[in-house]
Amino acid sequence: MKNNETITYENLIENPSFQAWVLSDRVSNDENWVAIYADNQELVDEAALFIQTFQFKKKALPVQEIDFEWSKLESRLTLPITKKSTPKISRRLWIRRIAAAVAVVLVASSSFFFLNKKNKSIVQATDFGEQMDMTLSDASSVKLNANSKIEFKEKWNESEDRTVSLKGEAFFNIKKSPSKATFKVATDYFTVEVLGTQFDVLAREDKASVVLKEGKIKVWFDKTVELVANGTTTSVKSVDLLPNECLKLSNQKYYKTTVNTSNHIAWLDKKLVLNNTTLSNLASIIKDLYGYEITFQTKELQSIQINGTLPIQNLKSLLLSIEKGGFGISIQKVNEKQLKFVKQ
Amino acid sequence: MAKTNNIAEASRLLWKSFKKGNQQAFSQLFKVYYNDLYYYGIKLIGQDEVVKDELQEFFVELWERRANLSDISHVKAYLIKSFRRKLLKTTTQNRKSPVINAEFKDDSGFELSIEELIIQDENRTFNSKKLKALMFKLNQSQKEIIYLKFYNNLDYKDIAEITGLKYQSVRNSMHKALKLLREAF
Repeated sequence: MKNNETITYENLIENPSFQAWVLSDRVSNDENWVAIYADNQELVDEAALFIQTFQFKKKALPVQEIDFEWSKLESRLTLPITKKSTPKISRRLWIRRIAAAVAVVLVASSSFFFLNKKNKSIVQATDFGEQMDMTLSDASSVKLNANSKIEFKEKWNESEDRTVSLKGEAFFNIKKSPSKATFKVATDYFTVEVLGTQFDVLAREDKASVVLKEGKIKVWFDKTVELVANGTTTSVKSVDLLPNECLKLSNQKYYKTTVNTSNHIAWLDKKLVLNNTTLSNLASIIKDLYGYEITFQTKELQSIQINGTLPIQNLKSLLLSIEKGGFGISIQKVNEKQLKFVKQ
Repeated sequence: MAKTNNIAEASRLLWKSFKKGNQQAFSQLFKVYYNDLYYYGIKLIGQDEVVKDELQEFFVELWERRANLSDISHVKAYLIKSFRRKLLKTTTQNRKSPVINAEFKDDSGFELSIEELIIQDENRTFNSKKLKALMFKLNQSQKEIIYLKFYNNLDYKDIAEITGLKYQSVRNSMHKALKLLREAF
């Protein structure tokens, strides 16, 4: 520390040499911090505590992801540079198509696997607590949430429907194809059909929903389903969704409601937004994302409703913020597969 | 600290080589700094996809301009500064995009949360609730300065360059922030 600088809390904290000394557990000593400590114990301890606490977690993207970004860039360095064009969202009316075509395309893609390399189908899957970004051959991008699986063709022909099948949850940003080929997301529950738009699809064992951020989409069912919209129930084979509309399965019926889309897709930013969510629903989400079964100390706990935003980048921070969230809940680890919610 | 200097020194050499058109060196620079640029971009505008697109454009432009670039002493600070400028430019140009806080003055912009800190539960001698509340009181530019200093290990001179603020106001701003946060410890 320079002579003209007085030893204050702020000066110590900002001093790189002091930071290094504290972080080395006060071993390194390129300036005489020990002597300074002798004269200013309280202040130095206080500043040291700040430095030890105020350390950011270093975040790192997976190496593969950076490599992937580099390969994308590399191809542009050698090719003539094309300017980025903003995707236009189609407002055209929809041409009805038969959902059965989806099945045909899927069968075709798997049977041509050995015959034609171009028709190879790719499966990508995420583990518990993991997310993955990918770009499809048509430049559309997909972000896969934890514990999810997606299958798609390595390359589509210009005129064919672009179909992917999904188990789990994914957010799609679909670019309109030059030949206006439809993009389809097939799930166990329904098929979502689009031209070019941004939307979230969730299709897990016990839940299913679609939320539209931008554009317009059509959701097809294999057979007639009950649809509840604006308080009335109808039997339908397909449903149109507009931005901020959500289609959600609950007790064998589909509900169409208007929602805050950013809450639904908060997982893209590694967050979970709770809006009068019951603890039992939260437990189910934790099971989907991290694979832990959750039991409750008492039955009443299950129906407690909570609000707020929780971090989901890892299980530890998620659980910690539930405990610290003022909901009166403590979490015990029963074993490697099980957690227990108990009253604080 | 020695390690940081080695990286800084190696980067200067890579930079020279990249300017001469060495794609290998460019690739190294890309891979070394992508992470920090990406997470800084996320801090500024929040959307993964937009940040990645912008980074692609940023590096393409860097490659195209390589012959006109000068030698620089601190590669990381230079990259952060130019990328920040690029993000600001796009966000102000493209008003339709849901991007927030073009000038980082808006309350909804640059966020720091205590969840981002390494906190050992056992020696919790500070008040985390209070820290949370105090973090909230910091303004955008204080948060950004703290992030650049403590997350990216940049010094005040670099931070002043990056944010376009005067050296002394960066220091004052940091001083005020630290004074405020002190209450939590």
